Amino acid sequence: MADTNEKLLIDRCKRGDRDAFDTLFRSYEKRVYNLAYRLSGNYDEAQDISLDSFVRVFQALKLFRGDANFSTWLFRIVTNVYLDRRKRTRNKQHLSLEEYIELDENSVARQVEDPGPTPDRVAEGHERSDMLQQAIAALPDYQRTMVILYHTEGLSYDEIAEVLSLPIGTVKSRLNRARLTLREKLEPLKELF
Amino acid sequence: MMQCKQAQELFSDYIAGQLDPALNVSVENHTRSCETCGAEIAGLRRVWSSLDTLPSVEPPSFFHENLMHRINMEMDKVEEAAQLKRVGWNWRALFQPRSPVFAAAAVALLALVGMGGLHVQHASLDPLGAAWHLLSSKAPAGAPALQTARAEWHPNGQGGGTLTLYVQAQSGPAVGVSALNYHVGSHKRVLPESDMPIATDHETTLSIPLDARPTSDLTLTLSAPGGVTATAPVTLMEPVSAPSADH
Repeated sequence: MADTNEKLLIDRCKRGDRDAFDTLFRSYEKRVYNLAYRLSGNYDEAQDISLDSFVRVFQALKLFRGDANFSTWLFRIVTNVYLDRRKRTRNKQHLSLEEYIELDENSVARQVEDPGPTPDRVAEGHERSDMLQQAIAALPDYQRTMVILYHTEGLSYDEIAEVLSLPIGTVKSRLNRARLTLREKLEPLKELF
Repeated sequence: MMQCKQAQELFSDYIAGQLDPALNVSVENHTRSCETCGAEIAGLRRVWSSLDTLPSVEPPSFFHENLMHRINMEMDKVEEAAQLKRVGWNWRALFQPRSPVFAAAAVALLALVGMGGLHVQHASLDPLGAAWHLLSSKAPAGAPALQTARAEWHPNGQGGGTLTLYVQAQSGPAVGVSALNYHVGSHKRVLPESDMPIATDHETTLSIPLDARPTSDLTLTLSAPGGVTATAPVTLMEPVSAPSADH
């Protein structure tokens, strides 16, 4: 989407035009969902992070002055939503699959849908990207965020520095460290890479 | 002759082709003569290319519909609030016995009657004056305000560090941080922020790298739609736990 068109669309959104929100959000939802998935490593959580981020964008859009790119501002919000959730859920207990739910007369075991890829799909060639995703997930938060913003979202060092409010030198050195850590973690599996 | 550690710090820039020619030759010569670094850069190239080709994932079915449902609900709330503001006071709501406005009005009326009772006993107490004071002491409509605000300083061992702000906005209009004001010694510093939104339902964390520890408490400049701004003080505290190695 050309910058001028996007600015016009954002202006319409600021005036409360529902169709403009529909168009603007549709154009970014795949990128936002991908970023959220790569950050959280979980399909359900990616959906929650994406929805919360767009709602936050809706609530704060009038504050967006257009000094930065809209995408940079949006990614900063997604990153903040992810980091906020991580902080809040760090010690939260997980749902037990053994739990029984009381219905009217009977109790039934909780059925939990796994929205992730099935074992068959993994065996069909997703092993490499799964290993990589696991290695990315083991990185510290900030390093993981930088790796994803650079490699999967295609942001420049300058843009990442803006998204994370960090000096560009810090972004470069942490990204280099993150890549070296990934190489080290994936070394035993190098036949896959 | 370049050392391994020095070369490793340049590996990313080397692979991205962002080194100046002289450094590029130095890294190249080093990785040719050092078996460990040669293997490391080969592995790094493999990882780099795998990262660049990570497959993208599709949002679930009905993601867009779910999203627009939530956005439409948010828009309805905004429009209702704007309508109420235009009308000034929703008199009809007063006469809807199940509405929250009715309940609030009833509580307020009871309170005023109660205070009126006191007025009989203590001539100096003015119930209407007290109620007016409560109403008029609130922040002006539309002015951004915070529910909670605190800050922690995480030093990096080189004089600087990261300032972590934990802030939560009061419900109402959208609130963003547009500047951070503080002192280092007698020097006043103002750091413009790019209007980062603050959540109303939980604390938002903002990490800001600084080259020196603030020696005063901090003041945030808050902004709301329509160019309305306000300031809010933030107390600087020592962190309760050690900072992570990544910070």
